[in-house]
Amino acid sequence: MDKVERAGKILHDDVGPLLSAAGLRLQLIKMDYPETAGLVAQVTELLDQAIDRVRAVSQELLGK
Amino acid sequence: MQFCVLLVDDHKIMRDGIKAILSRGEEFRVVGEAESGPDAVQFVKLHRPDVVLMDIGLPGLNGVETTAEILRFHPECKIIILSMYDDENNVVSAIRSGARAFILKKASDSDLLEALRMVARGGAYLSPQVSDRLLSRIQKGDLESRQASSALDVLSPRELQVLRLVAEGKTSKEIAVVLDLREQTVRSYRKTMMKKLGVNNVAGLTQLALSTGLTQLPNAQAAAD
Repeated sequence: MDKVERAGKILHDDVGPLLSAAGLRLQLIKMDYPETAGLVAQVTELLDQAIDRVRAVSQELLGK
Repeated sequence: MQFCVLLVDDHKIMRDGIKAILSRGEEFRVVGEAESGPDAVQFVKLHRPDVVLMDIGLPGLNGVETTAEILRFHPECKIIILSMYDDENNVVSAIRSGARAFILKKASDSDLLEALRMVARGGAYLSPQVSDRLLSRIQKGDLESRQASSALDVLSPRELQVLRLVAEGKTSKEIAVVLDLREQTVRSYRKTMMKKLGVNNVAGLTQLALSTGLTQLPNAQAAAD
């Protein structure tokens, strides 16, 4: 596996799930502290953009 | 009534996050965790949970195939598929395999709980992003399965599982382990498939699996999960 492919696989297999898991933790903060809902929504939106970006880059690196 | 839930994801960090969300309420109790399809099937056989919340991108036996396998043993089990992305093929495959819901991993806690409530009570659920996209596709009239897939219509769900694993380069022995079958049974499936599909060797099976989109080359597969 070359470096480019390896980078794509790490983004897909490791970074993507980490970002999703971070999103779940944000939901927990919102559940425990409802007053943070507005801020949590803003950070969640940024995370969603990061997830989509990671996917696009990993697909590019993996040659799809 | 409290519903028993099995969590299936190869990333512990995801299972922990979902478990923490469910633990905030009384409606759902996580009774088990599995990190692979075969482990999930074994758990369901023994404990028969009400709901299985499962990642689609499991290594080996994927979430769609595991869904079909679980429902063979426990048809009343309600299965929810979790996915990072809303690829149409993933959504359609999951629903066809018998899953009652398809939700994105970036779904909010309220969407996740709503999906669990709906499914546990016998309903169905799609993440809003997924249903919006499907509606749009249906309205445009282009939500049709790939024509090339029809070549595999003659195969049973089990034969499709075996075909995908053969195309991924697995031996009969390895396939037997993944699907919890005897090696001789796998060989028998391979012979039957070749006869049904009119091919004479593994190369032919692999080519057909690739051309119909049943499986992808390793690189493309990773990008699609």
